[in-house]
Amino acid sequence: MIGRGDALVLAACAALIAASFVLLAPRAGVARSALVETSRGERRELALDRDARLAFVGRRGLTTVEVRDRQARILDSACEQKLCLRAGWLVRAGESSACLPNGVTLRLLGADPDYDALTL
Amino acid sequence: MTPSPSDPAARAARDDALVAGFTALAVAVQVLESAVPMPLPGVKPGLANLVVLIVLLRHGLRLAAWVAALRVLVGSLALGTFLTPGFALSVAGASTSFGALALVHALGRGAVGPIGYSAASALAHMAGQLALAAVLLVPPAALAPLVPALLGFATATGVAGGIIARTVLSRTPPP
Repeated sequence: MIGRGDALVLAACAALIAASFVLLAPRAGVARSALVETSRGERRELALDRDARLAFVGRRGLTTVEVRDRQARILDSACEQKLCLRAGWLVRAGESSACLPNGVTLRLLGADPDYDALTL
Repeated sequence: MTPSPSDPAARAARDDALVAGFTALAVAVQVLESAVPMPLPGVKPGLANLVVLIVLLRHGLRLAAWVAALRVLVGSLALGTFLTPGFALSVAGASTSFGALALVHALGRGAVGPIGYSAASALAHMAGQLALAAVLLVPPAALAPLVPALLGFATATGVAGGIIARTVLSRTPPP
């Protein structure tokens, strides 16, 4: 039981929500590129639109990074536990994977710099 | 607006008493509400704003503005959030939600009931908080995917609040 005025206001609210969805959803978390950094100071940005498989020299050996279908992952690394492989494919901006023993990190960058945590 | 005493001093005293009483009620509701655990930060039923809405519908825009402003200030002092980022968000939300109430009041007085007022106010409250959060706290790109869901949730709680306000108004006799 709502009046016509209420219905009108609710329709306007629904229109605003729909507009926010159309305007904001596509921009959300789209990764622009993949950034690889090594403990030896190497820093390389990989374009996500070009599939590639690259090896980076770390403290203990090679870490292989693969880019495919606008996603990136660590394919293999010179370490024992292979924790970095468990991160799997990185899809969204801000996601990351790291092989700490070998000192190589992989991170997806978005249009805006992203925080991974926020404490108030 | 309710009929007022003709004597200006008596009228001012009556308005002061109404503002004080309703502000105390709104602060009490806010404090109680803050004790209810919610799944996400920034998501809550917004019952304190219902007090503002009821004051608006019963006693007019001016007294409602006083209650809205004092509620935020006193509520933050009671909860210990005065001048924290949460307080800034609270001020932003209260300002935009009151703006929405005033807009609905200006355009649709008489035609719109508590549910319409409450939905618009809740949506504006969330939008104001998100806008300030995007400027001050969180990068907009991280916030963007959450916006439609949060706005939808806010509007739904606004409708629920409107139903509560309508019930309260129908069961309490006008002064």
